[in-house]
Amino acid sequence: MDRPSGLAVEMRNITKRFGSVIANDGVDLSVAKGTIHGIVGENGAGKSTLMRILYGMYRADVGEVIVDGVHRVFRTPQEAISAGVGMVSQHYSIIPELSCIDNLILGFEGGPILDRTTAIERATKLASSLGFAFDWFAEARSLSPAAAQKLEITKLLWRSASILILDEPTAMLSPDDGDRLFRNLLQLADSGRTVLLVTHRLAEVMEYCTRVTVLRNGKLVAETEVTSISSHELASLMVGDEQVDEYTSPARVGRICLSLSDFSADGDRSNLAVNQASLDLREGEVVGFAGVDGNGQKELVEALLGIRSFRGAANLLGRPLGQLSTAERLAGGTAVVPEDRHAQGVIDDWPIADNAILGLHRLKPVSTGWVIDQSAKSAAISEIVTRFNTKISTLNAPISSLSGGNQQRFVVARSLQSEPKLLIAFQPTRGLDIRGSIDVYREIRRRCQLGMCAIVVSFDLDELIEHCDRILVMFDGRISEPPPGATTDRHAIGRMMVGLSP
Amino acid sequence: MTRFALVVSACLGLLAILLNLAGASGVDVTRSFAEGVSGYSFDRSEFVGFGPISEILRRMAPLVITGLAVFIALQAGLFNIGAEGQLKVGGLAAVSVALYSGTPGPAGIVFALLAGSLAGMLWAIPAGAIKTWRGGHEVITTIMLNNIAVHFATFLIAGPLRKPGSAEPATDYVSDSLRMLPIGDSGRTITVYPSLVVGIVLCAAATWWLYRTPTGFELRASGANPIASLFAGISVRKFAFWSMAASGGIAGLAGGLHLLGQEGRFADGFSPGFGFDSLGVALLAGRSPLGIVPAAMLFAAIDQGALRAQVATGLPKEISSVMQGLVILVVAILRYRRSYAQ
Amino acid sequence: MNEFVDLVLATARLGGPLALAAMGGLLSERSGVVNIALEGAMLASACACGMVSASTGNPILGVGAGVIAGVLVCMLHALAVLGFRIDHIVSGIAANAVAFGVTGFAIKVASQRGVEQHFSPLPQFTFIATAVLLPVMIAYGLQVTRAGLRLNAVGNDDRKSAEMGVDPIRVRLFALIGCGLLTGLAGAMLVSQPQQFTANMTAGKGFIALAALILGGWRPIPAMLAAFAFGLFDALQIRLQGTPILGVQLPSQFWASLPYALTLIALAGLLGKSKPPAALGRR
Repeated sequence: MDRPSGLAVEMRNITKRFGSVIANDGVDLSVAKGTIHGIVGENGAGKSTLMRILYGMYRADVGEVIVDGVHRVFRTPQEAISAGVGMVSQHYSIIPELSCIDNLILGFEGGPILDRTTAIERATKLASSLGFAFDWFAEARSLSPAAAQKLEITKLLWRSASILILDEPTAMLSPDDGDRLFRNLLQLADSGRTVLLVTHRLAEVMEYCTRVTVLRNGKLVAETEVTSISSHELASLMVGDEQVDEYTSPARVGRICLSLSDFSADGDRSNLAVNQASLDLREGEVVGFAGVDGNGQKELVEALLGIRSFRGAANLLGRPLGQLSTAERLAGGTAVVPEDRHAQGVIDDWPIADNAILGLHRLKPVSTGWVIDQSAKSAAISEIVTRFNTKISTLNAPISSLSGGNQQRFVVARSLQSEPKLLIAFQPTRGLDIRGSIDVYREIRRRCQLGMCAIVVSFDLDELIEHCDRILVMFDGRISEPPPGATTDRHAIGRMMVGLSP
Repeated sequence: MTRFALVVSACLGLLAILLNLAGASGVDVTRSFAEGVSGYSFDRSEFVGFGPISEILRRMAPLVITGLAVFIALQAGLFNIGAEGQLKVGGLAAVSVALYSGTPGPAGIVFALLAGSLAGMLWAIPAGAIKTWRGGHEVITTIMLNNIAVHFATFLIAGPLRKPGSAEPATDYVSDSLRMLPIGDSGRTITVYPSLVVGIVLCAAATWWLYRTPTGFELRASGANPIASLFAGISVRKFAFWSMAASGGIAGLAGGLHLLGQEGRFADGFSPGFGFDSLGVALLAGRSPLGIVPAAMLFAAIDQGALRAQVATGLPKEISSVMQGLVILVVAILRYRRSYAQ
Repeated sequence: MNEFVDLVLATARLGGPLALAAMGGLLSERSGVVNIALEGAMLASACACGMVSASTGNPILGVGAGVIAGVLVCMLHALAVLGFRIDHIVSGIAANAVAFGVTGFAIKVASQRGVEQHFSPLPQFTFIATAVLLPVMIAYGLQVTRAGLRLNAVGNDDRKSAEMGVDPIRVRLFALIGCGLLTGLAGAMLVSQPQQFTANMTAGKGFIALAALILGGWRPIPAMLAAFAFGLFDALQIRLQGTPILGVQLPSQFWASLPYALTLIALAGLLGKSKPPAALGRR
């Protein structure tokens, strides 16, 4: 055994292909026991794939996995779990229909007959060791993102996991909840457990991790002590040599484009999801809506589109939206980049060509009213795919044959194709790397200089501060604007995102 | 590929077991089956006539239109298992109008067919409405409507609509001027069934409509991804409702065309399950309604071949259902594999 | 009084197969697999049970054969849905067609050969007791067993369940085996009333069982009650034919249609919306 003592996880020469894409290319990883180890990289760098291999969800094509000094080949998560590996995926694996206790014990019930009383006793002990408390019989759907995260961590303890993988754990948390999470993780590391932290937020790594592994394009770029590297160096390792040119040409603000007054919309649980918003957005502006997920962003977007009803007044260029259907709003100059492109933006098994006119199919020139104009359709398609130089072999291939990033570019390009007056972009850079994000924002800005108004909803505050002219904050359905002087202060805005004063 | 080969061999194995059970020789069965669908006689080594081919055309006529009915709903993401009931009610309405309206000639035919179509539509609307506004699954509601249709039709032809003076539960025959009789002499030439021609024209029209008009585009989108459709400004509920209604209307038309064309009256059990067979036809058709025509032909040929094999070898003709079920399965598997290969 | 006892017994006899099949459907659908192959499984089971009982003279063997046939049809569905990931309803339609064909074929061959079809079955009481007790056991089992928890988890979210180390394919496979078992019992009960199999004797009863399952909101006891309600209507229909209601003599077809119409009305919302398992039908 050539194993240095004290390694919790060692992965050697891991290679994993999906079709022609190499997600991991000869990656090595070694993680010392009792530490928090950061794994950073852009979207698509291969972080999640590597972790899924460690957790038994994928099998590596090539390479070795050594856990606590033992060579392992995990075929299922079950096998990884019994070897002490546990994972919290980005979107959590909590099933909302089940109670908290059932979610906790699922997969590790301890016998064919459930003993919830004993389970709750033990679970309460585990939870309180980290300062957590749960209403065990409540349905898990009632949990806030932060509470769900806590349940996930308790779940790992329930499974006696000694190696904890957390995939972007702060993506859905407010800054304060994020801090609290890390205090818990440090506590766990002190108790001898090992934490693998997958993230793209370098500040987290710099503050809490002992060592960090950097991946880029599926390859290992560096593995180093955090103390021996600056966050600036880390950032350039992550991004590579690519020159990232800074935007910004200032906005030339025109007339009022979208005007809301006392605008309210109900959520799915008949809660007040958007609470009496009043604001004016002007032509030429790129307006960022910051906020933690679940504070009314989804409902706001849906209400503006006509998928959800609203109360109060909304005017687009002086025209009231209230009575208009979604189709009429699209025809009236609204366009959307939906939050979840897979579920809301494209039709997976349809050809690229048909997906290209989804949403444009009733607008001129694609539609002449009664029929689809085939030549206008082809023209629109070629403009859409060339806008971001999307590489496409044939337009008849299903859209699902494109990579996630290319699909996202495609959806953004399509939304701009109708030359909208108002663009509602929900996480427009989702799944894109830094280069792609910049392209998307540049294109949005170009349209805005011609008079479009863009609403950009994102959970990534840094991205909004970097690219938007103006930032509004959504908290608990209310929309507020940072006071003058704090408009780009991420700490002040972060406080507003959790309902504190800036 | 090996898994797929295993499935195909398992299907053939099942058929072999059934042949063996019935004590029939595989060679004889295959031969009579082939004779039954081609009109070629192996004994005499010659083509004996167009009878079998005409018979296949006759059998496929109702399957094409009913298949189109199911297809339209399927494109909107709905399984219209109620085509059978809609077809019955439509047939009943068409025959009643033909018998009692007194409008003669082509106008009478059009009138009767419209009535059939309307009745089929009305019979489908509860399913569409419950799906659209209450979320009740259309598979269950359409099956309930089928069962009600059976009893409703039985009641009418046993009572109010029964041919006066007859004990048989059936309506009177429609007058010849309101019939759509086949053209051609069965056996010596290929027989042309007007209802088949209407069906093929409708399939071609539906293909154009689905692929060349915004409304057709929207119907397909609403079935393929309802949520993305909402974001694209498509009223998914409207399509759920109207596609079901249209499906019922086409199934009702199929009933009317079949009765005016082939049966001439409404008798209990006139449909040997067209509505159910057409589900298979629509599933086989693929993306384009034009695919319905060969799919219906395949189903009709299987029925026809099995019937011939039963006459020649005593092999129960029920083998056709087994074959049709297996075809649906194999094609569904193939299609899934292809969509994943890309 | 006698009439009342008669009615109760008839309800139990007619509703029993529906309740058993509905429980089969419950296992399948709570695991996330839409199962309209209940119809075919029930038909295959009735056929196997009838023929094996008649040829061996042993009704217990017959029930065993019926259960195996039910499981086989469900395994065909499982192969298509879990193995090849084809649409659940498409697979169900295919499985039903195959079962319809094979059973029709078998009965024809049997009668061509002059095989005895009639048999003396197990007492109805055993079936009725099973049909009443099983839903109670299933309701309890869903609450307190690991299997029940995993069934619920997979039916609500197969992917997340997989992340928690629960193999959705395995759970669904077992659920479909259970479904075949129970639907097999349903078919055996059905055929032991006329004591002889006839072609297509289920005549849509599998679908009615599915309707009962949905009306019962995918919960065992309400689904059983819905199944027996269908049985009651069926029993009433036979008894009410020719009985004038408010001075009007309604045709028998009216009574025969009533349960279906009531199902429609119930689905239209008079009983409120019921919520299906979240991952139902997901491929």
